[in-house]
Amino acid sequence: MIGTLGKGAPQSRVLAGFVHCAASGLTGAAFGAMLGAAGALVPRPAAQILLAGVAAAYGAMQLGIVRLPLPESGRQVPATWRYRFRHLLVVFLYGAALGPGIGTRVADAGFVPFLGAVALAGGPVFGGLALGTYGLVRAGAAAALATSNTCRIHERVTFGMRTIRLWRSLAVAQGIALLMVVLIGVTVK
Amino acid sequence: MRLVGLVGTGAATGLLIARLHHGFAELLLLIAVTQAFASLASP
Repeated sequence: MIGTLGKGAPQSRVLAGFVHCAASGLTGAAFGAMLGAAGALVPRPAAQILLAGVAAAYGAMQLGIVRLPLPESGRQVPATWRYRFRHLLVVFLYGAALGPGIGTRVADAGFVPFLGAVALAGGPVFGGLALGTYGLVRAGAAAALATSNTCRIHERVTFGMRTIRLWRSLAVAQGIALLMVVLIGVTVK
Repeated sequence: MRLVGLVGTGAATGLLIARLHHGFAELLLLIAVTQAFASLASP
């Protein structure tokens, strides 16, 4: 995917990065707003208990205590799109597929309590903002790596794998913080 | 030891947010950014 974004002249890479970010941010925001709207229908005490349960269960998965299913397709973005569609359409479709976070593989179990919090504690506006941010940052980081001239191709592609321990460590602390807050009962609404 | 530190930091942050009744939205946005960077490991 980073290889696709990094194709062509510098100007074309920047344009592709913008298109990719826009698609990812928009689909993330739309998915988050839908989740928030659906979650708003769940009554408050039940939502809090459900969210605490999800945060505890997937927090245990983050700590390596249990193994639970993840909301993911388990696939990478389809490579065949690169040969079937024009370059800008491909980066748009890749962005649209990555924005909601469940179109490919979920890298960290902390993503599930995050989705739960967006759905059950955020409401549609905050849901759109939170998952829109996720989509935008995810695509923006990939686009920044792809358009970086100081990074060699191997470094661009392996950045995620080289830094995953840092993000997983942060995600553990954030997951515990989320669990504590939900248990005590403070949310966005 | 590192794990204990992470869990302790998370618990303290959660307690602080709950006590101040402020910062839950910021916590979720921070999680969004962290998960976005973590997702770079599985494109």
